[in-house]
Parts: sequence; C-alpha cells; structure tokens
Amino acid sequence: MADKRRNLIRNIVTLAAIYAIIQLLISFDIIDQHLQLNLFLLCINIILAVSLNLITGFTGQFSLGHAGFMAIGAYVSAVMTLKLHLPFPLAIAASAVSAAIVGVLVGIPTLRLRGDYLAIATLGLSEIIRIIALNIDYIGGASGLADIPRYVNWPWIFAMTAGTIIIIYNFIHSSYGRACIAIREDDIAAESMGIDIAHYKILAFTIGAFFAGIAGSLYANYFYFLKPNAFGFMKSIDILVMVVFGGLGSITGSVVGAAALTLLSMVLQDLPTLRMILYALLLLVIMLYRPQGLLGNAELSWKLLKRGDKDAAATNSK
Amino acid sequence: MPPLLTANDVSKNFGGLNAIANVNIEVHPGEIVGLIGPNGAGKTTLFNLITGVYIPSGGQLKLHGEVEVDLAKASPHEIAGMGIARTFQNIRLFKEMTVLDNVMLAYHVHIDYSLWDAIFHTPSYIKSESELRRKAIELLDIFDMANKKDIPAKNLPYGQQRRLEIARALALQPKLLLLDEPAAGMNPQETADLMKLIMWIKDRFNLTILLIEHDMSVVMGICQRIYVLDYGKLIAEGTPEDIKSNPQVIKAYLGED
Ligand SMILES: Nc1ncnc2c1ncn2[C@@H]1O[C@H](COP(=O)(O)OP(=O)(O)O)[C@@H](O)[C@H]1O
Ligand SMILES: [Mg+2]
Repeated sequence: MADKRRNLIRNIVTLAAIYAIIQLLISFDIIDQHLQLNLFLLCINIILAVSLNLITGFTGQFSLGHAGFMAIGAYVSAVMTLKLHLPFPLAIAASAVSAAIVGVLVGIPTLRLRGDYLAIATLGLSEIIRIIALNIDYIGGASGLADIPRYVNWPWIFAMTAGTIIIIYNFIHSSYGRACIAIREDDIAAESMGIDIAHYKILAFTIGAFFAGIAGSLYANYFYFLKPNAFGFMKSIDILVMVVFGGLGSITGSVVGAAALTLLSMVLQDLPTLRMILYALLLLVIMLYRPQGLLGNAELSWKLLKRGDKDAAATNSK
Repeated sequence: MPPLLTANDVSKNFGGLNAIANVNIEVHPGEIVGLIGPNGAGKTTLFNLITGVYIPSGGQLKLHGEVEVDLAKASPHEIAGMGIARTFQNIRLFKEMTVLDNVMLAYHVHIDYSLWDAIFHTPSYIKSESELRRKAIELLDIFDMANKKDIPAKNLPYGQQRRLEIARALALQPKLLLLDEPAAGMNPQETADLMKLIMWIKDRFNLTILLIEHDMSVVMGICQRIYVLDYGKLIAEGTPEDIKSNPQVIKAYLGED
C-alpha cells in the first residue's frame, strides 16, 4: 500500500517534470516550430497506438480501421470550431464521443468475425468513412478543409496524451481489462468464466475509438488543414506498425513504437521512398527476430527500474 | 432433497452422429457424481450441453437454484454466472496471464466496482481489488501455488496447470463444479493426491461435483454415484460397487480399443 502511494507520487512528479521541461524548452524556442510539430505528431501517434493496442493487442481484435475513427474525430472537431465557431473543449469532447459511437457500430461485426475477416471488415468501414468525407461538399470534399483554428498547444497535447495512457493503463489493470485479455487468450474459457464476450469486444472498440477521436481532434486543430486522404488505409497500417513494433499487449511498447516510427518519418521526411523501404525492412526484421515486438507484453515500472538498480549494484559489488 | 441439476431425455446430434442420446441424469446438492465411459462416449459433449456451449437437439436440461433455469436457453457466460463452473479436458488456461490473474479474472462476476472506478482507480476500486487479490492468493495457497502467483500460467508444469484450472473455477464461487478428466496425464500418486484435494474442496466450499473420468478406478474411491455412458447412451447408473460388477459396463470397457 505504501509502495503504491510512493509510486503514485513518483508518477505525478515525473509527469509534472516532463511537462515543465518541455514547456520551458518551447518557451525559450529551443524546441522550434519544426521540432514542435514533430513532437505534437509524436504525441498524437502515441494516443493512436495506445488506443489501437487496447483493441488489437489486449483484446485480440485485429483492426485495420483505426484511421477511420481518427477521421471522425478530426472532421467533427474541424466543423465545430471552423464552421460553427464552438469552443475547442466542446469540439474535442464531441469528437471523442462521435468516434466512440462509430466504434460501437464497428464493434458489432467483431461479434461474428475473427482474424483476417475482421481486419477486412474494419478496413472496409474506415474506407467507407473516408469515401463519405470525400463526397460531402460541406466539409470540402477531396480538397478538404483549410484554416481550421489552431487551439492545440503543449498543455492540451500533454494532458490528452498523458490522460490516454493513464486511463487505458488503468482499464487494463482492472477486472474489465483482465476480461479483455482473457478473451484474447481463450474466448471459450473466458465465456465459461462468466465473461460476456460480446460486451467486452464492443467495449474495447468503443474506448479505442474514443481516444482515436481525440487524436483526430488534436490533429485537426493543430495542423490547420484536413484531407480525407490523410486517413486512408496507409494511416491505419502506420498505427498498426507502431503497435506491432512496440509489442502487442504493452502500453510502454506502443509509446516506444510511436516514438521510433515518428522519428523515422521525421528524419526521412524528404525521402518518402526510402522511408517506405526502411519501414518495410524494419517490420521484416521485427517479424523475423522479435515477433512479440520490442517489449513483448512487458511494461516499464518503478519496480523494474529498481530491480535494474539492484542488479547493477550486485554486479558492481563483485 | 430435490436435485440441483437434471437432464431429461437429452440428446445431441452432430450431423448423423448421436453424441448424446436420450440421457437422463440427476445431480443432488452435495454429491460427487462420476461420469465415466470409453473415449468418444459423449462425456465432454454432455458438459458442453450443461454449460451452454452446445444447444441440445432434444430434451431438457435444468438447473434448480432459487429459480428453475432452462440451460438450453442460456448462454455460457450466463450459466457461469448462475453458479456452474468447469474445467476442460484439454487445459484452457489464459496462458500469457499470470497465475494470480487467471484466478482474479474468475472473480469477475462478483466485482462490485464500475468502469468509472476502474479507469480512475478510485478508492472503491483499490479496496475491491486488494480484497480480491487477498482472496485469490488464499485460494492459490490451498493448491500450493501461491509462490508461483506472478509467473505466466503457460510456464507452470503440466500437473499444476490442471490444478490452476480447478482453482480458477473455484474463484467463480460455483454451486456446481464440472471437472473434465482432471487427472488426465498424471501419475498414480498425483492422481491420488488430486482426488483427496477434490474431496477436501468439496467440503470446504460446499460444492456439488460432477466428475468425468476415463479411467474407472480413479473415481471409484470418491464418487457416491456413477453414470456410465457408451456411444452416447446411458448404459448404467449406481454406486461404485454396482458399476464395478455391471456386465454391460465391463463389456463396454473391454470392448475398447
Ligand atoms: N463439435 C462436434 N462436432 C462433431 N462431432 C463432435 C463434436 N463434439 C464431439 N463430437 C463427437 O461426439 C462424440 C463424443 O465426443 P466427446 O463428448 O468428446 O467424448 P468423450 O468426452 O466421452 O471422450 C465423438 O464421436 C466426437 O467425435
Ligand atoms: Mg472428453
């Protein structure tokens, strides 16, 4: 119990420190516009990867449609702020809720479909979302929306990213999260232990979509522009690669995966072809040598760090 | 005493195969009842019918608790919630989850905190989880596995995986426990220990047990009554003594292989 309290304090202090340091670096322009853009992109990718991990890594539902949820959030937020002049907090909340409602709809086929079939169904649904966006003139059709007000700053990005990680982490470490993991491990045994599989699969999709909606809203109200094609098949694959790279079933892994692949994109910005090749190679290497992903299902924790210290101390004393 | 579970003329067909044909069974509160028979006799199929994995092709399956429930109309998770827990012939643990999480998962139906409590780790979540954890460790202690609580279930030796499956089923706090060949793959000593443990948990948790066993001799010692299935049909029923000397049973077992 005392341990838990100490960890809680440590977590709060660490978060506050990260927040303050980056805020300072931004204020003194050490993190310039270009770096800041990539930092924000990284955070949005973390939200996307962690929320997809809940669906695919923890609950075991192979989804190729995460960009679709993001698109819903982005467009809802853009329309509410740009066209309806509504305040951003309202827009971001509406984005999350709309994406979650679509998440329920996408969750329903998961009750009947498994594996590859589910992947194709989710891909289809996200393509439908994109094509609908392409064909609505009110939201700009293929050319998208421009001049979306920029409300997103570091406090917003930080709060949403930290909030996503904490909430999904807490969910996983509760009876609800155990039920999701049990479904992934063995759905017949899970049912025989009293778990309503349909309920939890839909719940995972709903929560995952909720946070993808937030990511979309942050994206729209930071980058000024929005185009349906930003939320195509490749974006869903991008997010999936982050999750697989970091480790299905590890939240820390998703953060690391998002960081690694955002960095790769940033460095290779001007060489998109090389980027794609490296991407493919990276995936190949991971699949061949570490199919469980960088972190497998391990999480970074204070206990782990302490154990590391002790191990180090033990080797030093020899 | 009125029965807890009744199967009335229950049948199950798979295509042309009558896996279960017009079976009648009664299990009374507090009993340990054996269900034996050669391989392919339909024993596991009967468990799958009781737990709602399969829907009977005919007949009635009823659980008589506070209210009478038609098991054919309930889904597996509802049946588990009504107090029927089971183990599987081919172990089905949550392999990547820790030993402790396997047991804690099974308390799921008794959880009293909300989704809100879960995602914000409210005091009610913290209180409930630590209580749950204590109970789960206590249960693992009975099975001599508390010291292995933090390792993934898949890393347990085979015999302990079987025992963990029973512990997990107990965490559901069932009235009726269905054990599908719990001693399969164990040596005679392990088997004898397990049977003793089953007797002990039955008294400790006030259970009614329906026990499938392929090897007749294993159940003779602990079952009050035994049902014998062969090719989906009930060929005998009675005390272990009756069964041992029943010519039809001897024939079914000799005819095997
Ligand atoms: N899902 C199924 N589909 C088709 N046949 C099945 C199915 N389940 C069981 N059977 C058949 O039903 C018969 C009884 O099987 P089972 O109940 O597993 O036997 P036991 O547990 O007594 O060894 C076997 O012939 C088996 O092949
Ligand atoms: Mg069987």
